[in-house]
Formats: sequence, C-alpha cells, structure tokens
Amino acid sequence: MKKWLPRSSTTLNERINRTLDKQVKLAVTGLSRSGKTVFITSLVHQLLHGLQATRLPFFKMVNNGRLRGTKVMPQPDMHIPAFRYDLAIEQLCGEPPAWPQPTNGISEIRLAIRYLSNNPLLKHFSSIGTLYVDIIDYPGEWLLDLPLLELSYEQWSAQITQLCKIEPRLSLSEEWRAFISQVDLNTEADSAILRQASELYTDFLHQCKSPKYGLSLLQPGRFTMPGDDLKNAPLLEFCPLLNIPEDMKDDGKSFYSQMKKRYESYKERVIKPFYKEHFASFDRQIVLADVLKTFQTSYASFVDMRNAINMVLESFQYGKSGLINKLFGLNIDKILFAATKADHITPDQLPNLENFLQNMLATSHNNVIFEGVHTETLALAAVKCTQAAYTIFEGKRISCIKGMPVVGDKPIALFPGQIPTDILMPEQWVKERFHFIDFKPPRLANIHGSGLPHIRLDRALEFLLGDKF
Amino acid sequence: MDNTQTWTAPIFFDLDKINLEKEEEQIILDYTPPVILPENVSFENYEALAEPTLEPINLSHSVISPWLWLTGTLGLFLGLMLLVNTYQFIFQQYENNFFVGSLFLILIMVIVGIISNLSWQSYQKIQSLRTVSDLQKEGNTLLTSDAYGNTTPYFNKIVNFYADRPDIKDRLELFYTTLNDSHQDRDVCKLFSNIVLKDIDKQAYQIVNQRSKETALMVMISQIAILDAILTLWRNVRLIRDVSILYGSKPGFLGTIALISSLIQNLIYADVSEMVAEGMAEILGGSVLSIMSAQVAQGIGSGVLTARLGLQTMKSCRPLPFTDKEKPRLKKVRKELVISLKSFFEKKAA
Repeated sequence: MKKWLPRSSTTLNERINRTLDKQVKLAVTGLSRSGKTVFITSLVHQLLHGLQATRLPFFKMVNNGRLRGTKVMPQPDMHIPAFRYDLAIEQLCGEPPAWPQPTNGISEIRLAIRYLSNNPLLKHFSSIGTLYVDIIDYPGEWLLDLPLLELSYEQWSAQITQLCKIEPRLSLSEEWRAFISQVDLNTEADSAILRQASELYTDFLHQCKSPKYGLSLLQPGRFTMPGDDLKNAPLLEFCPLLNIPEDMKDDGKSFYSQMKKRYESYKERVIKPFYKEHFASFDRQIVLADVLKTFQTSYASFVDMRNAINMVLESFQYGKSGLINKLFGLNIDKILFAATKADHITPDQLPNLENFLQNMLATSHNNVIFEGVHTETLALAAVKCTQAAYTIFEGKRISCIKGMPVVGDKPIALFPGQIPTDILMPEQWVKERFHFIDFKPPRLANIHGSGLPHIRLDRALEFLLGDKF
Repeated sequence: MDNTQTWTAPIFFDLDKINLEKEEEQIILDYTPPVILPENVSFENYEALAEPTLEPINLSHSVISPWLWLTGTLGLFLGLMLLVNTYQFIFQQYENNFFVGSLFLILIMVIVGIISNLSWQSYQKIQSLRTVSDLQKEGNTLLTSDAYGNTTPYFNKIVNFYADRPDIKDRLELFYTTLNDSHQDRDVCKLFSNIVLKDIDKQAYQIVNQRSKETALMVMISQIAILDAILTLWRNVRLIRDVSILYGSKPGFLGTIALISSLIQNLIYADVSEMVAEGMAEILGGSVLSIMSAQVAQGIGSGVLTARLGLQTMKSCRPLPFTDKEKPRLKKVRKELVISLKSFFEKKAA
C-alpha cells in the first residue's frame, strides 16, 4: 500500500529529526592517549544515570529535572564500528577497576535522550522531546591530516624538513634522513626502497609519539593510527622528501614522482573520504588534550602540542570559509578544547590550567571565533580518581590529592606542583617543577546507582548539548 | 631658536665590557616544587563543610546618620501634607452634613488605627530577623574570585540561618550531596544559588507580584489620599515582612535606608497622584471614563513602585547576592501587573 513512499523513508525521518533539531553528532577526538575512551564511557554513564544522580549540577537540563531518561540505541551508520560502552564500563567497574582498552580507529554510539521540552513553541506539539546524540570517536591524528588537503607535496615536505631541524626531531629523524638523502630522486622508483623509506619514516613518527618525547604533530595521521582498514596498505608507503630542488621534473616514473603520486592519492583516497563521510556531518566537536603530560615531558613536547592544536583549529577556520567548506560543507558550530586529567592536580590549580590552555590557543581561538564557531576551553576529568585534601607539611598548610597509583597498592598523597597560568620560557620548563602520577580508577560501591565521579564533565555537556534541549 | 636637546640619545652597551647585574642574567625559577607526602600525614577533608558548627549571630547596631534625619523630615512633611488633605476632606463632609462628616471621621480613624497596628506588628516581626549585609559582602568576594576552598565558614553561617526551616532542609541536603571537592568557590556559590535559593527566589517573586497587584487595586479603588497612603504603607510593610521572613533575614543598614526611602517615595506617589487624579478629573470634566482612567493609571503606578520595593527587598535580604543573570526584572513584573489588571477589568466588563 505504501509504495508511493520513497524508499529512503528512514533517511527522510532522519532529516525531519534533524530539522526539528532533534539529532546532534558529537565528535570526540584527542591527541594521542588523552583519554577519549574514558571520556566517552563516563559521558554515556553520566547520561544513563542522570535520573538518579546528583552529579551533573551544571548541566541545566538535568539539574532542572527535565531529563526523562536516556537509552543506548542502535547506531544509524552501519559501516562504522560500534563503540563498546559495555566492555569499557565493565573494565572500569571491575574488581579491581581498570582503565578501558584504548580504541584505535573510528567508532560510534547513539544515545536517545528523553526530556521535557522547554521550547514555548514546540511545547504544544509534544511536551516530551527526544534528542538523538551520536557520539563519534576518531583518532586526533586523523584530524591533523586535514591541513594536508591544502598543501602540495613540495609544501608539505618543506614543512617537515623545517620541523626536523629542531630537537628532538633532529636526532630522532637521523636514520630516516640519512637514508632518504642518499636516494637519487631522479632515478626510477624501486618499490623496495620506497617501502624502506616509508618504514623508516613511520618508525620515526612512532618514536616521536612515544611517552618519552610525547610529540603530537605527526603527519600523516594514518601512519601512526592506520585504523583497521588501512594496515599495511601500499597507499601508506610514502614519506616527505628533504630539500626537493625547485626545477624537479615530474616524469611519472622517478622516485620523486612516485612519492608525489602516492601523497596525492593518500589525500584523494584517505583524507577526502573521511571528511566527506564523517567530518562534514559533525555538529559539535570536542578535542581532548593531555596538557599535563607535556608539562612533565619537555618544552618541545608542549610546543608541538600547541602547534598541533592550532593546526586543528586552523582547519576549522578553513572549514567555515575556505576550501574544505566548498568541497564538503561543514556543520560544526561549537568546539570544546578540554585539558583532561584535571584530577591529577589540586583543585585550586584548576583555573590556572584553564587559563594556561586559553593562552596556548589564543591566536587561532580568535580566528575561529571570527568565523562564527563557538569555542570554549575547560579543564576536566572524565573519571575522578583522586580526592582533594589539606594537610600540614613541614609547618605549612598545603593542598594535596590522594589516590591509588597505577603501580603499587598503597594510596599515595602528593602535591603535584603549581600549574603556570602563562606560557613558560624554555628555561623555566624544568623537570623538578612537576610530578604527575597516573592513578587507578576509583573503587566505588554504588557505581551503577549514581554515576561516576568527575570534574566539570557537566560543564562540558552544558556547552556541547545544553542548547539542544 | 634655542637648540638644546630635549631627548635622550640612544646608548649602546658593549656586552663584553659591561657586566649586567646577576639578577637580570638569570631567570628566577619561582615555583612551589611538587611533594609526595609521607604516609603518616593527617588530612583535613573537605567534608568538614557538611557539618555546620553553630556560631553566635551578630546583630548589627543601628547608627544615626544624616540619612536618618532626611528620612525623618521627609516623613514629617508627608504626614503634615496628609493631615492637611484629610482635614480638608472631612471639613468638606461636615459642611454638607454633620452626620456624614462624623461617620467619615470615625471610619477613617478606625481604618488608620487598624492599619497602623498591623504595620507596627509587621515591623516588629522584621526587626526580630537577622541582618545579612556582611554575608552579602562575603558572598560577593567569593563569587568574583578564582579561589578555592574558602567557602566552608561562609556556608556554615548561611546554613545556620536556615537551621530551623524544614522547607529548606531537603534542598540543603541536596546541595551537600551535589557538592564535591573539585568545585571552585564560585561553583559552590552558583550551586547554592541554583539548588537552595532558586526556590526561595521564585516564592519571593510570587509574593512581590501578589502584593503589587493588591496595592494597585486598592489605590485604584480608594478615593482619598490618606487612605491611599495608609494602604500603600500597609501593603509595602507587609511585603517587606513576607519577603524577609522567606529569606529568613532582614536587610542590613544600607539596605534598610534604601528600602525606607523607596517606601517614602511610594507613599508620596500614592498621596500626590491622588491629588493629581482629582485635578485631572476636574480638568477633563469629571466623566466616569476620565476618572476611571486616571485611577487606573494611578493604581498601576503604585503597583509598579511596590514591585520595585519588593525586588529591592529581595536583593537586600538574599544572603548570597544575585548574579546579573539571576536578578529578577522589574520589566517583567510590570508587564504581568498590567496584564492582570487588564484581565480584572475585562472580567468586570463582561
């Protein structure tokens, strides 16, 4: 009977939902090991337990008692792997509790949030509304690929060459640079050499990423985070070249031409599809960054993270008015930058951490706001695993945190150091200044009753979703 | 022309020859180093916040200042004006008829007596409450600072305030369960405002709305200046009393001054506007419509002024100051007042 209905009635329904502002795609990403999985797990858990809990006082919709329940729903995009909330929460609530396994690619989870409508117009149609929140998790490294779309192979190579002139990249890239400089760019390409060059380059990126150096600006993103579909694909066998002569000819066969070709096809086959299929449909974006890690690692790691985040921000700037937007269109209207692991510092340092993050992003922040994208910076902890306390130490009253360290079974109390509000000079960036320790997740008796303890997750929710209810 | 140099020439230092002072060469590392605390150290938990300790309450002392003199003389002036006005009214009635005059005289005296008594009682009730001006000051610094961990004594004092209030107990408990050790001072204040005070604000707002409507209607109906004034006085004092009781506190010295001066303004308005309305009726020829419209306008004016007084009372009685977003708006009350009066007349007309 209903043959006249268009076959894609589900998509039609989807569209109506979207026009009535009832669906929102929330993209979560972070620069290497910043706690995306824990963040999403905690966020889902908070929303699922929003009815009983008193843990979201600054998420207005919940605090006003308008929430009518949340449920995990089957996700709309069947081709994206599901985010395994069930597994993650099991690990987090296990005995003993453990941090969930990190995810290595894109994944998605859909939540349906029922709420009492506050909109004076829509109130009369239906007093209870449903908001579908699709949370999409993807590696931050992929986000760093976006700027490549606007760079030619030569430009990109020049950029990398520049980066490799400064420590710690200078010494880390030595092997790869030595190899690549002895290759004649004009000779016919040998696939073995191509592969070896790209392997060396990939090794170099992996080393940069290791906790010892903690660098974030690693392009191309798929080299360190290939995702499940691209592991060992020849598409990833290329690398930038040092010092390309300006009169280099592209004859289609030479080593240089091959590299260039592969770079272009990487852009065409990997970056563009990702943006077309996923990125273009995101409404809200949260970027997580482990700023504390850079405090403890080195000044270089901090500079690198700053450059990476600024580059990400610039992409959004491109996104609104530049090439990307012309190609795919961009919906993102709110970006939240969050410094994670805020429970690793004493609570009186929280505003400092936020100010620091703000200072770190000042310039590109300005540009993004200029383009009409709302941004906010927050210090948060998705799962709070320490307790704050005061103690008298050597005659002085100091603030400290208490928690169970990942190694060992004795709780430890420490004052982890003062967070500077402004960017430090490289000389001031001394090792003894900070001491952050990784903690185990808290053991809680009533984890399924009241939601996980957190710091400022409710504010993040208010910023990201508050206007949708 | 005098060619003397008025600027200092640039000087170049040769860094090899000149020694800069040590301090400028070095960057001073100015930070508190991290510490891992020994195991046997004892902690003070933030939970101390949840167990308020009772503290004695300071009653503020009244001070005599020029302001009081001003309000006193203004009050005297007002009273005199009213007396003259009333005398004229009664005198008129006596000229018409002795009995009618006596009846009016007795009636007015009875009304004034009752209302003065009621107002006096309200005033005494207000006096028995505690002042909050110090708390407000403290709250303001907490709200504007970036600090952490200073809220305990402040909220202990406020909780003390509401110790014998069963209607607020639940809210207070919710406040304490919601609170955790990562909240900044500002967050704690916002939480308290959202969870505990928001309800009280709503009720207070209702009272203000109700009283301003009542005042508007009474002033509209009554025809004699002294009745207007005394009714306004009564409703206003009653309004201050109700709002104060709701917040459990009375305004501090400055707040009181502001309230009294605003109360006097209201009385003057009620008084003067009545005379203006009379004058208007004479000018416009005393048609029913012109009298009515003048009366309505007068009523609305009185109502709005009462509402303003009410909002001022709310502001000066709330232990935690309003943030800009939370502030109740006079505009809204005025709108509601006009709408409700309109509906009142439409009902009457129908």
